[in-house]
Amino acid sequence: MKVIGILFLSFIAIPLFAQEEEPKKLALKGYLKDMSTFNYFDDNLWYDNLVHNRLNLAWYANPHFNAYLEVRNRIFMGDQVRNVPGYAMQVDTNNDYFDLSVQHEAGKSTIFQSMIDRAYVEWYNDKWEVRAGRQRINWGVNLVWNPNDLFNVYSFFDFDYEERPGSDAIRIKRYTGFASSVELAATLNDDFDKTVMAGMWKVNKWGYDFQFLAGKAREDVTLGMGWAGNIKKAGFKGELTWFEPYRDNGSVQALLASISVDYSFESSLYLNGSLLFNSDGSDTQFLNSAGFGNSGQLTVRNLSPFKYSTFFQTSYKFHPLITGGLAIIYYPSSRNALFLNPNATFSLKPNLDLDLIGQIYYDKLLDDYRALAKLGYVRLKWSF
Amino acid sequence: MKTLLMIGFCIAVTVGNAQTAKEVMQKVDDKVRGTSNKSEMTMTIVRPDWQREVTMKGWSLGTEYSLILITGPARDKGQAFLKRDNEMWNWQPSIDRVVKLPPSMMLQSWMGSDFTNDDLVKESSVVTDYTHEFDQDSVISGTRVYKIILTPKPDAAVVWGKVICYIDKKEFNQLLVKYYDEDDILVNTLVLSNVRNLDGRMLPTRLEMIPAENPKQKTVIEYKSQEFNIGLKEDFFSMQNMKRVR
Repeated sequence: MKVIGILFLSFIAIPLFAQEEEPKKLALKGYLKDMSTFNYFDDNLWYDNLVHNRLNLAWYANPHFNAYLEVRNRIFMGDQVRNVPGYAMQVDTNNDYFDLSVQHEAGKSTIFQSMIDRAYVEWYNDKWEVRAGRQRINWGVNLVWNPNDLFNVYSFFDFDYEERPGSDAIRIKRYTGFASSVELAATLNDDFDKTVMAGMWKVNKWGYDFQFLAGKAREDVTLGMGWAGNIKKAGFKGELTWFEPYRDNGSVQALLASISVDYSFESSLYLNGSLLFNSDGSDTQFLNSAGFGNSGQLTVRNLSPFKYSTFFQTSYKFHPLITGGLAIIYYPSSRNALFLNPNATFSLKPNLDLDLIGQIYYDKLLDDYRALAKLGYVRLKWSF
Repeated sequence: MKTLLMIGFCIAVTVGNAQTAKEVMQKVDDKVRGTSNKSEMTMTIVRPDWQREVTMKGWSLGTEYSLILITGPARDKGQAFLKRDNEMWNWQPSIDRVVKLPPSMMLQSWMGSDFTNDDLVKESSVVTDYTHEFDQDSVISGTRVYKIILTPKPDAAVVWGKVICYIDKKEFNQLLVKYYDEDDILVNTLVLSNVRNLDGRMLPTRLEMIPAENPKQKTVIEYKSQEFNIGLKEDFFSMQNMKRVR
């Protein structure tokens, strides 16, 4: 009932704000998406449909105070919901402290879920910025793998979660120059071992953005740094983070490092190559289906189960309204695990997009190398 | 009488020649830009069977600093672009992320239009990145214009081989600009019209960029408002302001 209440309120609110050209004190925007998923495996085809609405509400109370509330409403229907035990639980799993979601199962194959993934207040002046509540603290620099993103790392496979997860946290930031700042952030948790507390210093030097971080992330002490700059006309970015367990919990020291180079041709052809190293990774790991799933369950330490992961992406505008692309993740090991992600976006109307997306995953199972997962997605998105 | 006319003519010619082509371009540039300015505009990509509109607000200081906020369409609203010298960043509010853009992106089309990123954030300068010379004066829709040929300096980060500007002799406004590639082939034509009063200056408010290869398509920029010399300082063009401007 609660879910329906939220959905209902959402739709009433749209006409009130959507017309407004200039954001005044209150601004509302969001989208409505419908996505069909075709999941082929062995000789089966599962079909699922996801209706997905997002509402971003911002209140610009005065020149020093803002408040934000963002809600994600989803209705899952289909074979996966019906056949995967505990699917409803899986949908609702996250790293958050406060439970800000409601869920309702209607029959065997439908789940309603409504979740507040941003709810924070912000106070600021010229130099200072303080944010408290569920917010995204984005410390990552690279496109695909972000070892510096201690607070809310995201999964590249979870493409339908464009906004990426947030954290229940407080963040205090002081700007010290046009691209330099010092910030402290901490997540809220009753269990100290589950908290993340860290500081970051950002500075711009020699045409590069540098960042340095130190703190604790769950049961590790961490140190890290990252940079974003360029070599000639190509972008050159990197991040590394060291994890040192501060108690005997069975985990080992780990270094996670990622590096990337990207280039954009005049013709709109875009290329991005990236490499991730995880000293705690292995060759024998199996990237199970959970790896495809939920950004909310990830931490930097389990960004990839493999020691080395490589990424290549290209995209091209075939027409001003049509962009096509291909992303490839290859895990160099005896298993030769490979992930292929072709995609195309069509702009049908000024605020209506159609996406065609494929996710194909090859791995070796019982000495048999084959496509273990073949997923096709058709998504319509109306933004308002 | 005849003599007087002759003298008058001579003075006019002398005065006319007193300013170099470069000085004319400098006047044109100063008028459009001011030391700092703020503008609101709509860009429309026009094709025979469809069109798309992007609305934005822009702030700039000289050619070195600029900030652009996308205000529409809904999908891209809130995104911002910051340029300082030759560094450029993109702010994506939905994921709380600043992305440093590779310099190669400067020459790419701006959001699928016939303008490049460079056209929008004006990294290259019509004054300092080119050498200038007068060609034969001309007339465009009844207005007498200077014709000035701009040749890029060897080390300038400019994509064009040559640019020809037609400039209103009285108002110092560009009315027509032709862009040629290095093989001297016409690539783009920019037509400027709808001269209106913007913050006390008579300026063209409608810019149409038409690719020579495909004259049926164009990108139109229309200025809704513009303010000049608004006292922006370098520190306005910062990460925190990129997130704050509305």
